[in-house]
Amino acid sequence: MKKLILSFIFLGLIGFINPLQAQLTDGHEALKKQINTVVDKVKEAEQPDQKRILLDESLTDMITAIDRVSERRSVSDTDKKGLAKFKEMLNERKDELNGNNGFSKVPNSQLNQYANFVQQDIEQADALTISLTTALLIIIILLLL
Amino acid sequence: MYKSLILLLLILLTGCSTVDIVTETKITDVEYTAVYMIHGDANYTYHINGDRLQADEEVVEEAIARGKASASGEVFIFHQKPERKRFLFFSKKDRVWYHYRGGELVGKGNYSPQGGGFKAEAKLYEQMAGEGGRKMFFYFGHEVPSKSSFAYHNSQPELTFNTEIFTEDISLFEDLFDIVLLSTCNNGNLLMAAALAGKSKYLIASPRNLHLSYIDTQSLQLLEENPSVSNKILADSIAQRSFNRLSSQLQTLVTVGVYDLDVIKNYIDSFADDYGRYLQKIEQETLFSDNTDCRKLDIFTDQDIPEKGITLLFSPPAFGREAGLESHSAWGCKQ
Repeated sequence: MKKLILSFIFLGLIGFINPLQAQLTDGHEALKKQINTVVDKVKEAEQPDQKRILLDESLTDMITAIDRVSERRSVSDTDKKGLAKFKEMLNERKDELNGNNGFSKVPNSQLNQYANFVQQDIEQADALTISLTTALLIIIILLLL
Repeated sequence: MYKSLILLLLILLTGCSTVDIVTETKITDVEYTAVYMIHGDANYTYHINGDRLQADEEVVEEAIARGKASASGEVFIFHQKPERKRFLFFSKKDRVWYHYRGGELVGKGNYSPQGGGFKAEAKLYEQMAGEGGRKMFFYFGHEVPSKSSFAYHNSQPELTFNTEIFTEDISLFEDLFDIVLLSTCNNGNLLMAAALAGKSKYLIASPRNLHLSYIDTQSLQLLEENPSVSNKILADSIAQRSFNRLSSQLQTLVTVGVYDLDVIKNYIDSFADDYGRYLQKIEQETLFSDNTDCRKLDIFTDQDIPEKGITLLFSPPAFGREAGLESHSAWGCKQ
């Protein structure tokens, strides 16, 4: 009888492993949620300077997080290429926001639309083809910054 | 003890089975058949005005609405949800199919994938689809890659999926479709068009990134109002309606093309061959990247790729390097 009870407990545990792992590792979802929070904050901010600072700091934080994740040995070469592309995209968005590297600075009146553009560009690109765990690492580092 | 274990095993196996409603009779007088293949085994979250939306779930809702409105046709919906295992070994049959005929739900069930393409779906279709009428295949998902360069199905990364598998597997449904719609990023490209020539009369696709709010298919209503409407008018209507919505909602580049494959097949092969050879050289460096306009590639600077038989709807992005872009060719290429 004891063996039977133990068998039930064992099967019950392995039955829960997969859904639990899926929830813990859905880094893409967390990343998109993080970006949406930033966009919401930008729209809520009243002053253009606040909006620009919020966007600039968020992009900088994400670039820093990508750099730190890329340095990790456990990250695959494929993910490192994906991260490099993602970083390139974020750097370009930051340049445009501030009018660097040949871009005209985004006008104060268009900062809300620009926040939408950044979000749509990231969400529509299959740029988040980095693995779920690598995306989750970015989120963890973002939370620690 | 053994009896108890056998009983336990029986309980587990019974728990894994599902009861399906299977359409028992085929019909021959169907005016049209639309197949919605909706990939959901990856991240498909997007936001509109702060609201979180799930692209695959949104399309399933729209497809069901089309099914309910299909008074003279039939609609198959295959929702490729993540496939989980019960107790590590037993498939949970997480994918869901629906079959609407004459506006009624006549079949619904769960199934598991067979490979990375559409083999399981094609078997179900073969059992139930009516004969005759217009045939359409609508795919919603991330870019169908030219080669299997990354895991397409998150829950089963070992399953491969690419242009070759896509074009081979849609032939398991029908020898020739009237319209194939690819609501994906970057599949308005030479390799996909060349592979679909002879398998479909028309292709609707985007040569560049396409937002997850997708191409919409409400124009199927035209078939209810006028069953003899031409494929071209129907395809143009689907593209135009989607383009109008996408370009009014988005700040990003929007491109939606209608490709007449009967015209294109007369000139596409040599260009597709050139592009295929080029891709073999550069693909490792271009994973994850958006297409660019093929006109920018060195290999095509001396020989413009014809655009006969194509209508491209194009709206430039409000920001970014391509803001203010005045034109775009119908072909997207990796760079």
